[in-house]
Amino acid sequence: MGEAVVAVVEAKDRFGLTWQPALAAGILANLDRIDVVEVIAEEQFSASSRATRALETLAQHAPLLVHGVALGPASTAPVQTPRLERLSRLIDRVEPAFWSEHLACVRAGDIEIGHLAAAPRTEATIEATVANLSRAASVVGSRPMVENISTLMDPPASDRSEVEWISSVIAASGCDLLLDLHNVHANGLNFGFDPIDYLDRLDSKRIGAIHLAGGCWIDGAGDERRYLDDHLHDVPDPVYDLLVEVGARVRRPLTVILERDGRFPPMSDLLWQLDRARAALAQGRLRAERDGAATRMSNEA
Amino acid sequence: MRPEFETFLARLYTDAPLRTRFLAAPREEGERQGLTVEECAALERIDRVGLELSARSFAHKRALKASGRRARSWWNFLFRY
Repeated sequence: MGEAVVAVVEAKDRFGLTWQPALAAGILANLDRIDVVEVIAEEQFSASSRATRALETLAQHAPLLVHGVALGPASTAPVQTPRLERLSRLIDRVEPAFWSEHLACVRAGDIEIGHLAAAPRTEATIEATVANLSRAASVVGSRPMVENISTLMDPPASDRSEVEWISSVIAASGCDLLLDLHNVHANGLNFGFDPIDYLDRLDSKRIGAIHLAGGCWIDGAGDERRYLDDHLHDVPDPVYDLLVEVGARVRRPLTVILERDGRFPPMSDLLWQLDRARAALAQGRLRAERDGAATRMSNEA
Repeated sequence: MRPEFETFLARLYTDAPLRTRFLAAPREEGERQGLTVEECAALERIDRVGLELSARSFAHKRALKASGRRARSWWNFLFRY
C-alpha cells in the first residue's frame, strides 16, 4: 500500500445526511454507510416528545451535528437570548460533534425575513457578526462552525467580495468554516466569480466541514435568471469537482453532509451521491499527496 | 452599516407595496425612510432582478414555515404525547 493511500485512510473523513422525517427509515437502515447525521436545530425546538425520543435514540447509533438556520448572526442586532438558550439546551441533550450556523441575516427590527439573507459586506457587519458569534459561543459553551450562504442578490452597500468578508469573519471570530460548495457554485454562477479562485483565497486550515446540495435556475424579469440553492435536486457535477479541489487543499479530516429537503429520491440514490462525494474527496487528497511527493523529489534532485 | 439600513432591506424583502414604490424611485423612497445620502446611493445601484427573486424566495419560505406550523399544531392537538 502506498504512502498516499495510507494518508487518505488516516484522514478519517465522515460522510452523512441531514435528518428528515421522510428519510428516517432509510437513514436508520443504512447506518453502515452513513457516518454522521445532521439535525436542524429549529426543527427540534418544536418537535413532539416522540420525535425527541427518536432523536435521542438516533444519537446512540450515529454521531450527530446540530445545524442552526435562524440565529442570524450576520446582523447589527444582537442574537436573541431565548434562541441561544434553546440551542444550548438542545446541544446539552444530544451532545453533537459540533454545531453550526449560517453567516446570514434573518431578521431586522421586528421583521422576520423568513430565510437567510446576505448582509452587506462591510467592516461594520464583520464587527457585528464577530460580536454575535462570540456571544453565541459564550451562551452555548462552544464556537459554531459558520457557513457561507447562497444569495440571489448581491447585497447593496457592500465594499468587498464575499470571500474577503467571510475570511475576515473567520479570522476575527475564531470560528471554523462549514464550506457549502453548492452555495459557492450558485453564487459563482449568479455573480460571475470563479469558484476555484474563491477556494484559493480561503484559509484551507480553517475549513472543517462541507455541505453539498443541488439547485435549479429560476427566471427573473426580462431575460435574466438566477441559480437557486433549493436542496430539491441532486448534487451537480461541478460541485463534486469543487470537492476534489477541497480534498487537494485541506489536510484535516472533514465532515461532509449531503443536504436534501424534499423531492426525495430513493435512499439508494442518496447513498450513491454520498459514495461519489467520498470518491471526490479521496481523489483530491491523493492529488495533494502526489503533488507533495513530486515537489519533494524535485527539491531533492 | 446602520440598523436602520438593515431594517429597510428587510422591509424591501417582505413588503411588496414598499418594494414597488422603491423600484419606481429608489432615492426618493430611501430619503423618505430617513436613510443617509450614502445609503440612498447604494440603493440606487441595487440588483433589481436579484431583489425581486430574493423577495419571492423569502415569501415562499415564510409560507412553508407557516403551513408547517399549522400542520404541527394540528398534529400536536390530535396526538398529545
